[in-house]
Amino acid sequence: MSLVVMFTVLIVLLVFGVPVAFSIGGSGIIYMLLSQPSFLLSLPQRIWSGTNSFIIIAMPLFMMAGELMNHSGLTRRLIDFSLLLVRPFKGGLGEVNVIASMIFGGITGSSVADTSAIGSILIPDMIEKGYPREFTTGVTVASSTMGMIIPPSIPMLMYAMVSGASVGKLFIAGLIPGILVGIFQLVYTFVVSKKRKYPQETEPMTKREVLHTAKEGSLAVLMPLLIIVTVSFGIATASESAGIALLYALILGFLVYRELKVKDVIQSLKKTAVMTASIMIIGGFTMVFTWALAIEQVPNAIATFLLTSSIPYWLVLILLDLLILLLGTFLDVVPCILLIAPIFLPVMRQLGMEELQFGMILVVGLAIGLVTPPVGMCLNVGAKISGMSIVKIFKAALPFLICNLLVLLLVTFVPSISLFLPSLL
Amino acid sequence: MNTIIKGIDRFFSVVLSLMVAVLASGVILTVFMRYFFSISYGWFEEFLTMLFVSITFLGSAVCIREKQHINISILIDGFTGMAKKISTIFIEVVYIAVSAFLLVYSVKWIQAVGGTVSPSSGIPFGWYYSVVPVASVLSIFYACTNIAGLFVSIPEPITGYFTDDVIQTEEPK
Repeated sequence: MSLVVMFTVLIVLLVFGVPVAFSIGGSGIIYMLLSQPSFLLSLPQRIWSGTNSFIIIAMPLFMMAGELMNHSGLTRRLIDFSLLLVRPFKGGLGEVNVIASMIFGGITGSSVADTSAIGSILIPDMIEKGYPREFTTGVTVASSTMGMIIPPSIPMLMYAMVSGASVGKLFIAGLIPGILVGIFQLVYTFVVSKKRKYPQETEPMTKREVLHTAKEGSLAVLMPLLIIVTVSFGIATASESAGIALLYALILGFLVYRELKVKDVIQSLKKTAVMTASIMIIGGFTMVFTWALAIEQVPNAIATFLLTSSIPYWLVLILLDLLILLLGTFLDVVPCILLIAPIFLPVMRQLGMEELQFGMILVVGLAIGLVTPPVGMCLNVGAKISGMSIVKIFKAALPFLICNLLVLLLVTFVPSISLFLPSLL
Repeated sequence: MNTIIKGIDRFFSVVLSLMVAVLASGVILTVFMRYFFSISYGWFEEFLTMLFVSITFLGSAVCIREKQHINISILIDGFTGMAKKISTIFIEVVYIAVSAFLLVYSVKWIQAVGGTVSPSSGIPFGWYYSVVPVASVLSIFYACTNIAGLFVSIPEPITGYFTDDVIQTEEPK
């Protein structure tokens, strides 16, 4: 009964716009009051334990490194570098958009930052070159979903915190799904661009220009490589690797690109604190919720039901995907991870799924939610840049999202897509 | 009153910025110490983690003031006039209620276990835990400020973090 009240209160608070952290906290307190008021004595300790983790210190540092890289003129350089890559294939700005998002995702670990940075430059550029506004915004928001799949990824860090999975293995597990999304979206963009005769980037470049663009771009690409290699091969912990990435961003911004200003660094400090707190406090309050679920043995009950019922495994997987897509439509990525993982990871473990694969299904599935109305953070940013309605952008992004859906199905039904690379470590 | 609010805003902005700066420098320092001098201090790692937790709690209070907490706003975005006012007050009351519970029980928690000394740093955990009641009081203060802002003029907080670098283009009519 207390559990039913807790869920009802949670849904009511969420629907009425109460922030996720306080909705979870408020419903958790109601549960404690109804079931055993003495449980309240453990309230602060549980919230504290949800934020007390050395691994997750990596999150603000990755955020800040991405933020500094962005202020260092990284986006323009990445776009030029991507142009260099599509030129031999007679590609256009559509393909540039997808490739730049793949690399950018590896630097910031955030899809929203990707839409904001790349969209701010490429959407006006593409429109000026004659690309339809719908296609331009669609490809920008859809390709930015790779930001959280390609490592390093902030949602993966959150998942590592709640599941206990290795950050290094999670990062490397995200490589194949992330690259697959990129390849599928690139193929679609290429075919559509050829069919609709979108402009190709064929302006000649001097050897000097090519070398300069390649040098500046590869210095930026080096950052995600540095992170993946150091974390995945156990050379550094996630937090240390984030520290190295931050130092690299500072050196690149101040000494190499020379576009970073002290003012940018100071601004990014406060921004990092606020962004970190808005995410981590959800992690804290979720511990109360998770604890209530454990007390009521909810994951066990679901697992027992699934194991004793005649529902085939493939149907369970489809239902899991649908649940992730549905929740991702209404909730932001981090709250979804914090709510879904504690309930369904123990269930799926009992059904034989590895935690790395479950993490990848979550991340790939929830990335789609960033571009689905009504709650799609990338969609909102895309709407702000292009001046289009979110429904129009969603329709334009739909073909690209089918690429994401295909990868989600692959990750769900072919475990080796997530598990092959980590198994080599 | 507005001067006090501005002062508190500024104070916590500086405190949070400094905390992130120390956290970032601290992590970079641990990397250097470990790789070049093979030194790692347990107490320093503990200090950085506690700094991170403190950023979370104090930052959460600042998020109330700056309306940066993550929420689902589809329903309330459609509200106008009195409905908007009531829904805002409702949200702020939830902040106050949750923070009040946290304040009361964190004080009891610190009284119960705050004297336990950390084995690596020798510092009583109560010092670290004290950020919870402090952040709870600040959260209640900011939620009350937000309610007051519906009826009287209060200074605007700094906002617009997520999409502030966006360049807008107009859709052709």
